[in-house]
Amino acid sequence: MMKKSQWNDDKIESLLKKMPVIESRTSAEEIYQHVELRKRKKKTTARWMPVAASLAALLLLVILVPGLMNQNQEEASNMASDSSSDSAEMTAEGGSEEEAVNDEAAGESEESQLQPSEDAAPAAEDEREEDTQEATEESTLEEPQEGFSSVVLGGDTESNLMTDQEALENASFDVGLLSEDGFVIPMTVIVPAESDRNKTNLELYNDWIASLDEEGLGFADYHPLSSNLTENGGNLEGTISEIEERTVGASSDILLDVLNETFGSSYENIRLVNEDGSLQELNQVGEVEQFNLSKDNHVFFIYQQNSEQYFYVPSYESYDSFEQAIGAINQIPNDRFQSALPDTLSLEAEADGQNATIRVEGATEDLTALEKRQFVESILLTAKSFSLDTVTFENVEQDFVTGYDFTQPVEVPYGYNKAYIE
Amino acid sequence: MDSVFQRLYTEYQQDVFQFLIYLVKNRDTAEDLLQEVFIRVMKSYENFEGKSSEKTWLFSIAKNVTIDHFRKQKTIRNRVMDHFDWGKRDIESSDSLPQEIAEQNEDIQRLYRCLDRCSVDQKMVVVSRYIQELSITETAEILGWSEGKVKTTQHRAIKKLKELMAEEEEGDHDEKITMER
Repeated sequence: MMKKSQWNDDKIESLLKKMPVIESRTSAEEIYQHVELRKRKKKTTARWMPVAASLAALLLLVILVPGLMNQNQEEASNMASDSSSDSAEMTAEGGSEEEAVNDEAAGESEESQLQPSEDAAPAAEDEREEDTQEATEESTLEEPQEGFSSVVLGGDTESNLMTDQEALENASFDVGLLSEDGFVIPMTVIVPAESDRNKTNLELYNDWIASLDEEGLGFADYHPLSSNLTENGGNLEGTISEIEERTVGASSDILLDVLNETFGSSYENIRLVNEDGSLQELNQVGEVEQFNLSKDNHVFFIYQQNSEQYFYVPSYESYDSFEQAIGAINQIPNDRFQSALPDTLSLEAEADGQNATIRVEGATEDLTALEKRQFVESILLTAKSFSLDTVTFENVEQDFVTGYDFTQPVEVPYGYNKAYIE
Repeated sequence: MDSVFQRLYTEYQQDVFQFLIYLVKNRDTAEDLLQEVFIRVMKSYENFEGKSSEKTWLFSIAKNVTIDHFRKQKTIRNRVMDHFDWGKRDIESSDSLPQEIAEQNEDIQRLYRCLDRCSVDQKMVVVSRYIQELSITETAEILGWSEGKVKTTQHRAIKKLKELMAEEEEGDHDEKITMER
């Protein structure tokens, strides 16, 4: 028999009126600072933005056209399609932990970028049907190759990141590796075959992933993901092997993070299908027509693998603007990631066209070489994540970090945490 | 410090914060939104025409900021559902109770949780009417609704809360029985 509830309108209403007062911990000064800051920045930057955005787009085309000769097309178009995302207008100031800047202004245009791929699925499907006539070259997965070793570099005196110059001279591919404690780390793997430079990220992945010693590098043995992935323009399709094991419990998200970090720079979508062409089912997610791939618009933190080795890791969250991302540089999402911003420093950030300016405030003399390097490089990666080309660091000494010239705008790196197959 | 800011802040910050935190259920987010409310208030203060009271004007800005926040959350959530981890990260609703709530009796805590399961419209009405103790007319002005819509939404919200409270109680009761076995 159903028991009659003791709750009537009066009781609910009087209980609601008893809800306690919850007090804010922010001070008037803190909020006033932000009010002033927003006013100031608005005045100086807003007028330029429409012009800056179109200039940036033009400039990027100019830069990219010669680049297309050397680099694979997916990489380039991926960059181009993201070129406008940094024309966001507001300026955030990084610094104290609580300083998240809620900036709605970029909302509308950003939201359209963030549409779930389901919305786009019907159109994509049509395209796919047309595309089936086109020949798609299927790269076959090679057998594990003996005789290679895998190395990760980086430290106080050496950058962990791959530069444009290195990219011109070497072939490399992105891969998301899984740490022993379940975090996905974006890596750029340089392979010992310069002639492979014109291969796509997928071809390089298929050719070389078996030679990458994940466990030797301190990671879990997670790759290869598939033996039949094919690419068609910006789309990938294939079967994830051992999908049941990979999606046990809540681990589907690890799989999707790995896919994103591995293919997100070069491809737009991935469609997971069984051998018979039906959609693969992911535990807790079910069947999804296709997954969007993206690595864009994150701020970078530090993940310390052991006492010596560290990696740069993206935030879970993506941000509307570079300034907002930098504003969140202290908002670490778990206890394994560390902020790259030393306690003694605070920042002002502003993106204008393809360049970002970071004004550093605070004492730098007591910082270690490693702290300085991690600070600079995580900002460079954040700028890269917003498709910016360069970062001007203001208020740092010329030789702040070995290997960089701070009198000039510093170029963002080509790749992520660098590893070599030798 | 600007004297207008100082006055508005002293007079309204607690009420606005209260409004925000009961809607977004997360202290950090509410504090960020509070900041955003005052940024917008100061930006548009000179255009404030005094058609409504200062208080309802301020609350209507708070409402807009909150709705923008929810919209953004929803976009993130869609995106997360689409290719990531469906709710574990980014989404805030499963936060632990604020200390002020945790110190209260079980019914209050339960009601606080139930409030989260109401629609955004229902939450806004409940918070305005009962927690802020605003009149129907004021609530209608803030939300930009007719008074009729405020009344119906309020009625539905209370009905929903009644059901949810009964459900929660039932749930807790069942749990106890299972434990005793």
